[in-house]
Amino acid sequence: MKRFYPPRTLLAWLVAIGSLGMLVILPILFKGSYWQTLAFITFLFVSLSISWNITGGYAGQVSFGHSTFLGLGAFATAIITLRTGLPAPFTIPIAGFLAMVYGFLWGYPTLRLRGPYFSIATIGVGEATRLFMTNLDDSLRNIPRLKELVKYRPLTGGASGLTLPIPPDIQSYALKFYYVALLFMLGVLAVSWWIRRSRFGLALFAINMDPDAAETLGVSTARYNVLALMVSAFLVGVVGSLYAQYFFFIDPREMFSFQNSIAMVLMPIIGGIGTLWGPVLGAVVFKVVEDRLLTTHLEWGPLSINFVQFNLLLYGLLLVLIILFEPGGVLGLLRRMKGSRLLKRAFTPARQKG
Amino acid sequence: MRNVALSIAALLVGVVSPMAYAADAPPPSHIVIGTALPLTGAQSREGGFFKKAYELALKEVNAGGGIMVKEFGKKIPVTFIIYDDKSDPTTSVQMYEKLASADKVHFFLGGYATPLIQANTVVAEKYQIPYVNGGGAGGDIYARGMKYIFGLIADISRCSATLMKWMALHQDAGKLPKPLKIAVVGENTSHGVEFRKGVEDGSNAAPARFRVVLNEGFELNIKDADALLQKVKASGADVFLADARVSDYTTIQRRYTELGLYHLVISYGPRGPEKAARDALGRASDYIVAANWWNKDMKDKPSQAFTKKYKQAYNEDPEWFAALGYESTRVLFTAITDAGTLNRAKVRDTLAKIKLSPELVVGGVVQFGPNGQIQNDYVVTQNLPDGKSIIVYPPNLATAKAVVPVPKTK
Amino acid sequence: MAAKDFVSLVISAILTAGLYAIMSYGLALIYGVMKIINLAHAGVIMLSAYMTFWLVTAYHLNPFLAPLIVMPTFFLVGLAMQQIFIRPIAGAPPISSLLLLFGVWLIMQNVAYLIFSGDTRSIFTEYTLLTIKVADIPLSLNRLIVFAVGIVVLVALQLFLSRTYPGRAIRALAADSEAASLVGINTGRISMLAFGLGISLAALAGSLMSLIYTFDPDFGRSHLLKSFCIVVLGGLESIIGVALGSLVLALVEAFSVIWLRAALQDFVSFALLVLVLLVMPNGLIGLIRRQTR
Repeated sequence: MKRFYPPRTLLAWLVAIGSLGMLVILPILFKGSYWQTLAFITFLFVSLSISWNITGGYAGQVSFGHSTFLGLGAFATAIITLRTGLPAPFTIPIAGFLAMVYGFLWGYPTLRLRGPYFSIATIGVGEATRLFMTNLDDSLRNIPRLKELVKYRPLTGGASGLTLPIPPDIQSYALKFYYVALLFMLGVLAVSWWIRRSRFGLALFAINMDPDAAETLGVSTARYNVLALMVSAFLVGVVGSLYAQYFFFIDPREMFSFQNSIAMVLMPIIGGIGTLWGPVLGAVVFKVVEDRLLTTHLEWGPLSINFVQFNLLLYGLLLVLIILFEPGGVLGLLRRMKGSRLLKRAFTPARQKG
Repeated sequence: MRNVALSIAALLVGVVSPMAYAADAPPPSHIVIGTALPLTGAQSREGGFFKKAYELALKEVNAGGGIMVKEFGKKIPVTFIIYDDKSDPTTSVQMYEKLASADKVHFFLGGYATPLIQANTVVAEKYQIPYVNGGGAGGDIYARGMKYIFGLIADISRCSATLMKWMALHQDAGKLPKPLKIAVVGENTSHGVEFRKGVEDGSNAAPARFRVVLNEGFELNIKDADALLQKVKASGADVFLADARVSDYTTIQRRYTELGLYHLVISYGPRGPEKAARDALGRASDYIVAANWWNKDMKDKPSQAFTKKYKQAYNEDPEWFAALGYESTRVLFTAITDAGTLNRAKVRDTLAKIKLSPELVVGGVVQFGPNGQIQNDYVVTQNLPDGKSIIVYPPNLATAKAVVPVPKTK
Repeated sequence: MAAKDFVSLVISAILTAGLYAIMSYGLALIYGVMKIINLAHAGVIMLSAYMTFWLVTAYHLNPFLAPLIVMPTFFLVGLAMQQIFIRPIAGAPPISSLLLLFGVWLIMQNVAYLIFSGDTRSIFTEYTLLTIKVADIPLSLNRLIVFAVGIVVLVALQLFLSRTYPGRAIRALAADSEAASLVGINTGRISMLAFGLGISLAALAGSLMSLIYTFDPDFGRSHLLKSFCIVVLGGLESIIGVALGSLVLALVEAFSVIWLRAALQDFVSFALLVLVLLVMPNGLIGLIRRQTR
């Protein structure tokens, strides 16, 4: 069957540039709309998704503990800004760096575990971190020498959280952040793209496919896995910092929550784990569908259906269906539908079955 | 490459479609008030009370034609937009953002509970939209120098203060010893933290009367209360004060009873007379004292009127959530009328200066402190056997004498 | 600490260990035989708690009889789960089954939210607050019964695994699945049986736990993590190992409170989990070797 393919590359580039252009111009045209906030949140989630994919997709280490980096980044920014008065944007690299260090600290020992054991260990680390950070203030209060740290103001805010000062001109501030988030997302995408093409990425894919074989070829599994986690951690930490600077309120139970870790796992898997664009698709689907579900409400006489709870139910279902039928996620599904061999080669997921 | 385009297009389509909302903005012929409530998730029971109360107030005001706005010289009907925040702070913030920018509401009503309100009030302040709530008691919410946030719910440390005032009365009557040793525990949320602090402050202010021998927090959803209760027992306290949600209250109190612990006074802060808890605890909930923001047995006229209306509409007894929710709505409506305009800054100023009476809050007067939070007293109730409960404080609202100390053989 | 309090603490820990053990048998069995980490274990515990709740409140069934109905029901559920979810991905790397069952857990949780709402439930019966005094120390009747059931199940499981054909077949499968099929064991059917049994044990745990704890759709999560800790600590090869692991964890938790804040008690089990995974390589290496392909 002969099919006509229009000049694929040209068309695709036009659409890509056009869409990007719109993303850039729209907030100026429609000032202060809800769309802007939703887009901002989506950019952050896309970044999270791509970052997680570096550890979970490229290196194949499924981590349920990434919320530790999110929280650490957010709190690093909040604590430094509140205590030293350093303008928040300057704390961004510090937040990323601290998250990266934490990634090394718990990644180094746990990445020696294989597959599912690593995943379970990450659940433990995630929850332990959350408990620790939530109780930190109270604990410090009971240690005489460290009491000074929390005497006049909270450190992590414990159960009350921390509130950052709100700048006077909120609309232009929000607009600035929109572009920052957009740029950052594109940056993270670029990092992900670069990794795929680099020797670093090659090593990760090799380790993912067969760690023993990789070792015999001289690729240090431990070193590359830890590096991947550190890169991933840095990026997620920055997202945390941006979050704190946009929403002005963070609390340890929220930021270090298991829910956030789950979201970071679900998005790339649903979109297409181990690919470049899979995580992007997954995050967009995740956030947009969630927004639609949150605001849709049907009333049929006595029956009042609230679609809110369908959110996670849907993702659970998607996850199950994807693992059973299409491990390549939505992207894999699209790939299969198009049946193009060229695309198949270019977008093979980094993880193979079996 | 196609996938690149596809993804960006998806991103675009996905986030552009909400722009359709801008076209659906309600006509200015209605006063639009927005809120996000926990209608699903862990706080759905309480969220449900708020929703019912808000809807009751809405029906009432629209039955009269709406709110009289002098600026336009006529009564304008009111519409509510109520979103579900799934008891999740991030969702709550998102919903309030949506209400502010897409739905373009005129004013906000608050949700429930403290962690969500702490997060979503930032949105109100950001967009400078007056926000009146009856669900966020944490003092932290109002300690941030915000101008647009108003709370009809007195802060938690007053809960501990009221309990201690009440205990002091009994000390003077010779029923409780001086000094009284207190063991206080609280859930690890700002609610619990403030409760514990209130107890500490109260005992520091009156060292001859009170001494805190144990002060600890516990994680929400406590599964094993043994550890905590062992510490309480070991502290040798006379009185056991705690701040916990219904589920933890149930877990801890059950274990308390099984372990055979005894104290002269037991209180779980605002928890106590809820039907859910009494059903889950049976006789273990007897004699527990609670300090609350409102109680359906309060005999003052506004409270009775509300209780009657609510029962008629929904065929169930109202709890404090409903009362404060109803009251916040009415206070907002009154403020709009008094300001005579829909201008947010002016309504905000009216709210700051407002003084209403008689109202159903304890003490009968609604007036906000300089930080936006009301400073009323709490009402103290005590559970009696067979599912009964009485009001024991303040004296002008009391329905019976308290049983102090807790009888030894229960 | 007074002697009496100390004894009380130890006894309380032992009773808790019984509960932990029941919670973990199912997980250990499924893991031991099929090398599958069943995250849906938490979901099953939660659903069986709700089922018990329904049986007790709607039909006034004696709560201690509820397991007799709940267990067979969930055995069938387990068989179905194995056929629908596990068999299709038989050859996939273990992470697939982990994620799959995680998805199943999400579905279970959210269906429960839809049907039951997020309200906390609890079961209150005339047995709930009863205590028996042993040497002047009050012991909760509920917990004593749970402990007793734990011992009974322990013995029954041991007997089943060592004296009956299906039981021995399960152990053979756990030891070496290829060799097992070579000697004529129907691996498909035995896997199904093992999974069903594991799920019904989880259901037993949920049913008993619903009498002690309050629950909502998120019930089971913190228990699941403790079970991992226990399974890794002692139970990879044997049921008795699970019992021992439960005892160790319960005692460590009980005594850690003396130095730690009560709020950090869960921290202990998480930290222990991570530590055990890292530091006890001997028990794990053999399994890990069998895991990698």
